[in-house]
Amino acid sequence: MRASRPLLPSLIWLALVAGGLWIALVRTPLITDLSLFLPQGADSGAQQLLDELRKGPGNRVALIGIEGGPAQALAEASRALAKRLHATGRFTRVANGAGVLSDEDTRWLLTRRYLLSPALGPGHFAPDKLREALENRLRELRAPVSLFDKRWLARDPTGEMLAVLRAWRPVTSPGLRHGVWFSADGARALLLAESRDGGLDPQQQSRMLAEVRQVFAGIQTSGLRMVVSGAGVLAAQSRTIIRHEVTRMSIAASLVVALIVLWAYRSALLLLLSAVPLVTALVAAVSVTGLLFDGIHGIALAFGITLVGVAIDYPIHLFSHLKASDGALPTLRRIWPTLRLGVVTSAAGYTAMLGGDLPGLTELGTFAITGLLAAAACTRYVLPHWIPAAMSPRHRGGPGGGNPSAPVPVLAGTLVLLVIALLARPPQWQDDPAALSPLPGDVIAADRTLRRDLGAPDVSHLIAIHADSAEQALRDSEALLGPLQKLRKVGAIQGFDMAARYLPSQARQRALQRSLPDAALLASRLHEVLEGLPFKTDLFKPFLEDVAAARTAPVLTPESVTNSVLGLRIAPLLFQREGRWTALVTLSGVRDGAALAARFAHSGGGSGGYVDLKQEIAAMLGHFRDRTLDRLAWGAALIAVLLGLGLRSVRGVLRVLLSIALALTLELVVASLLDLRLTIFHLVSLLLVVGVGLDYSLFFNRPGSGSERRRTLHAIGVCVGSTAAVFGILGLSELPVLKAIGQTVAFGVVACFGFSYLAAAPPTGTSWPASTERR
Amino acid sequence: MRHNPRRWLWLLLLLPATVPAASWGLDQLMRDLAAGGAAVVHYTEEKQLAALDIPLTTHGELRFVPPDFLERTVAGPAAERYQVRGNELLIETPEGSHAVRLGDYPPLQAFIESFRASLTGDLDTLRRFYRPDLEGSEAHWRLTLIPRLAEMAAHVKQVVITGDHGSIHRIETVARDGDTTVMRLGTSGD
Repeated sequence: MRASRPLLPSLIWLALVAGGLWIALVRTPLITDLSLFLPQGADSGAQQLLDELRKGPGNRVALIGIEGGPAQALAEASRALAKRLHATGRFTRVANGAGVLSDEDTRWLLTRRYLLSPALGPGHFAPDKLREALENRLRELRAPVSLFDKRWLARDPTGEMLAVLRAWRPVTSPGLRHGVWFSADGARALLLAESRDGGLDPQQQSRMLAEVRQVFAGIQTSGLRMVVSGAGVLAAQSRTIIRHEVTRMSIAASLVVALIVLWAYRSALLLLLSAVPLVTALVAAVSVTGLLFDGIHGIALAFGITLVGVAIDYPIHLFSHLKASDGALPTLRRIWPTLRLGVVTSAAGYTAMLGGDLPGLTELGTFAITGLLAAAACTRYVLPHWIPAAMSPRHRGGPGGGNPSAPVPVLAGTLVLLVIALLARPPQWQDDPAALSPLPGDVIAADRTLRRDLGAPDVSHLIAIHADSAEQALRDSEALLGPLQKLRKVGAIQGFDMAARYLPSQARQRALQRSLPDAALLASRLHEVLEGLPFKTDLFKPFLEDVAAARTAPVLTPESVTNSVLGLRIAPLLFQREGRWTALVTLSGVRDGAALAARFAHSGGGSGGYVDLKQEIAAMLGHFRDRTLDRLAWGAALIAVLLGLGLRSVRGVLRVLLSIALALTLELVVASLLDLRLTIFHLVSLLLVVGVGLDYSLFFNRPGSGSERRRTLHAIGVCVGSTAAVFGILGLSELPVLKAIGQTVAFGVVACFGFSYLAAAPPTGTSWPASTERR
Repeated sequence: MRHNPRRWLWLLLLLPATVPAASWGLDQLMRDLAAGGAAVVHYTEEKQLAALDIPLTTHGELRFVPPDFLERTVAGPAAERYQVRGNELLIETPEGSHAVRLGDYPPLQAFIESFRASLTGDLDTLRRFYRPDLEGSEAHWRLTLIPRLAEMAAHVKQVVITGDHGSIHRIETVARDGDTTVMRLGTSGD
């Protein structure tokens, strides 16, 4: 009879944990993309763009630098690396300045040059133009520097291929030394490698990165170093860093908490049992979040684990309140109303994170709420059955039962003073999203250097063009060519890139086809203009054939060139999402963003136009913060209502709310004095502090005798000690986000403890007889 | 006259001293070429191209100022000028002038480096771009250069330079497709 009672909840628990564990380990991919933590601006195309850039093939490009040797050795290493990388077949493009296009790709373009050439137009093959072209070819042949490749003389006497290739040159190409790309100071040989797959998938990115390193190790001879960067590579690196950090933090935090619990209760069994609600919470949180969001973000996981780590407080409350005379179950029933109110109010606080504009934050809120509820349920329904009946921790309890019980008006007065201090010097917000990046500064600096050396476009300045069809997007892009070239000429921008540079619209291609003379006409013209020139008869037969073929060739579309060198080149710049086409014009070396914004504000058709992503994101973060603060106010109101329902005492609610408000304002005043820039993660940390603080304050304000108060003080002492230790460790993290959270929470829980202790109502009744506690 | 065999024996000792004359080679040729210093020479060039019925000819002047200034002034049929200073090539034609980075055109860079290296006697540079093979004698040598770099080898099969002592008479460039350019150098008119 006695044994059957604990069995059922234990079995249900076991089944749920086993199922959750399977989902968590097998079905929940880890996502590390930081933009989940950037707001989804409904009123701006920026988020959509960001999303597309993130998913786009731009992330497949790895920027590679080789350094640490004489230029000659670097150039040789660059050639060898490019050759080997190309040979792996995993890269669609490996460019180092030496023959950017393969022979095969060159041939592909050569056969389509009359549809692609930016130089072609009406009258291009008029007799005088033709004669001029031929004379130019002759002059070039005579010149010691034959820039015109004579391989193509017979097929392409008007030099269209050269015009096509000119468009294919990088927007701002790095200088060449020993025939390959070098940084301006000559210290680094530069390469670009575009992987065949990857982009979105950090695992494939990691594999690609490993492959590049392995190939480099294979050609490595004399202490040369390789630096690899790029959006996808950084994502992979973030992932490694986050994983490393999570592991490190988990181990350190677990050890510290274990030591504190062991020291507090001197019982290995209780130490083991204290981990049960925590493990349950993590399994539940990961599996539920994973199911709801198709995976879990690395930061949501790292932060979530620490948020849910507070679940260790629940068994601690139970253990500290155990009495030799009572079993575990009666003890739990004694503290359950308080514990339950703490859990419910904390969870209510986290609802402020749900449904916001940040998917990552919603994920985090879900994670925390699920974890807390699971831990509370486990503590309530499973744990007591596992504690032996006679178990009572051998602790002496806290110091004497008295506490200062500062009067409410004094507390309120102090709060007013702190609020005045806060208003006099409010803390500043952090508006730079890069401050949230988990990557260390030197990695970001290395990326910036490589990007600058390679002249890779800065993705933060864009003109976005939205259209219903690829054709319309290309036509709209073509309309910008003239104005952009003008801007480049006056130095407002250094360069630009767009899909239409490589693939003209069908309209333009058809116009080009119409401008080509028919075979008979061209042949007779050619015969005419060759008069007096030394070219061999019939030399230009291939030219006549190519023009004739081009007149009837099918025009090229993004779909028809998908797998060609052209398709790969335009894919990051022209793409379809949900039926709409987007063409991106990337701008490099933007001097005057405001002028560009004014000039191109409405060039994109509808929601498009000039976008300064960095500015947009900062604006969105500001907007997001305002919304979150609104939500926090609602969360606070909800907490107050729940407290009123649970405590049924205005004075009690005031004591609880005041102690937490004091802790929060003190924390903000300190942050302001230390010149800390607040991020949304500080806000989230403050939510955690609110949850923990509620718990402390509620327990302190529990009606009870002096001896029960001593047990409560012990319980909260252990809670504060473990939480402050765990978050203190987190505060040492290399990840800016975790560091902010750790420091905020560690300070906050100590402040909450202090104010809750000061503000708690005096104990009720006497410590003896204990019968008042018994029913 | 007394015949003294020992005198002849003594002469034998001199033999090694005559060996350097016999071991005239690439090193010596480079030293001889370098000794030329700054120079201005007249040239004529003839290009035999498969695409054309007749050879293309130009003539003009070449000027070299050590260590790296090279100028080719084309007198006819059209006036043009090519100046190489360091790693930059300045092209001046009747249509206008523009600058080109030598590094952007590996075959061109290799060709110009070979020229400059020959004129300054820089064997190391020469060997970086070519496998040199020297035949003939000091009075009539023939230096065949086979390009090492793939970029250049794709265009140029070989460069053959002939001359005597420290002066170059003729540079023949054979392209991969068989087209041939012959440049003849003579002392300038002055």
